[in-house]
Amino acid sequence: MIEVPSKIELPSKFLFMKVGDHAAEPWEQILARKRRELDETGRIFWGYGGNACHPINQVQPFAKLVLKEMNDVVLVMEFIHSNADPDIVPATEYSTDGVIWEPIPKGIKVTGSRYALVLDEIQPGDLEVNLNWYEVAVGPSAGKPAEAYLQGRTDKACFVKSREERIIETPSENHTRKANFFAKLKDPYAVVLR
Amino acid sequence: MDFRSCLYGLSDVIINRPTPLRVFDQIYMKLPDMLLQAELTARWCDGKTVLFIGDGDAIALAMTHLSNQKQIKGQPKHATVLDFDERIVNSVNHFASNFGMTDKIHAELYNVADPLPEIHWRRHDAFYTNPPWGASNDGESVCAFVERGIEGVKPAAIGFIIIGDHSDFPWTHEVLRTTQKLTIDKGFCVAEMLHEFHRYHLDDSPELTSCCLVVKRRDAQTLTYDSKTLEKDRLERFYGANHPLKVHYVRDLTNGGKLESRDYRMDPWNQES
Repeated sequence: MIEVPSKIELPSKFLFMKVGDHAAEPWEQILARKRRELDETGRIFWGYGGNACHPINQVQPFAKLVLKEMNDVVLVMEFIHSNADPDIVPATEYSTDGVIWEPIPKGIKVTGSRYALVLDEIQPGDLEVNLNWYEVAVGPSAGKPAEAYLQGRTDKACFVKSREERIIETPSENHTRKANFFAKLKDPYAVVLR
Repeated sequence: MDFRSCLYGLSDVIINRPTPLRVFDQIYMKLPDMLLQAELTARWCDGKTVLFIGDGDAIALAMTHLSNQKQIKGQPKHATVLDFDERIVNSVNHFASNFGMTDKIHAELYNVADPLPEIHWRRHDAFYTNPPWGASNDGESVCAFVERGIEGVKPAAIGFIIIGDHSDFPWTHEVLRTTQKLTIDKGFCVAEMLHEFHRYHLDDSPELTSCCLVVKRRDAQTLTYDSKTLEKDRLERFYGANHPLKVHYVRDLTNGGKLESRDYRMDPWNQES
């Protein structure tokens, strides 16, 4: 039984991702499967897709940047009700650099994803993300306000704390996100799948 | 300009582009801006040879194809595309062959980290580059591509530099300033700048634009061949902070589309099922 921790303070740099049901698999079932994955292999491959947070040109450089300043790279997960496509094609190989490919380790299953974060234990938490305080940390969108970046189809980002809070004339609930889970990334932080 | 014929011509070019690889920030320019950029480049480069340092967007092909069809003003004498992605090299050369333009455009495999091949040293009248924009390496990647372009042009030359430019993205202004300083130090001046001129197929920031910086040099000292491999510290942050160059070439497994793609398989029709 995992004890639900009290309110957790956000680091100045972290990854943010919306999570939920995926590939016709309910969220609770995904969590249970991923806990078994951690027990068996010592790490979790957390699959994702899209163009934001590319493992090689965004997540890995971001993780190295974070580790120069703090001990851990944290993924903050906001639960949403998702209508993700029931795509169940499992990845069979992974790569940290796109050049050398290795078989997906026994005990790990990632479906319907081009990329995966490499995680330690996924823990429940009580986190509040005030998007007005953060901006995109890496890539062509660097400097873009977090609240603007997460509008539309983008559901994940590498964030860094802005120099000052942006004052929004008409604040909305959308600017404050409640995150219910978090995890620390493990070396190599993110991989490409096929 | 016959707009419809221009779009037909561009359509030929766009369908010929290989799938962009986001891992190298191959993010393609949108169609209307390709047309404007091809027209601008052809007009400036009438009668000139142009060296493209990387060209995933296929501006070289767009310019040559539309110019060859007399759809736009300006007749560049020849375009050479250097790219580390063999899919792009093959796509250019096959297109040139299919449309009878092999005397007007040619592509070669080349990685900017390597010394510029001696055959291109100070040979061309103009250079063009749309490099990785250097958001997190203070424009280092832009400088690497621009320096190779400058190595490839004659003392009197023009340069076209396409880099991020948007008022909401402060890093674009820092990189723009670094780039302008580099070109000025190399004897160029800014001849024209088209502010926030292009948009891209960049789904997480579709509003991010780039400028077309046109630089011009009247003369320069004649130098003997001296192109060198990029220094180690520059390779370490080639694509950005903590993002070193690790890939020399991207290889084309379809020989420019002559071989079948390996992206799909076909399930047989089974009448019994």
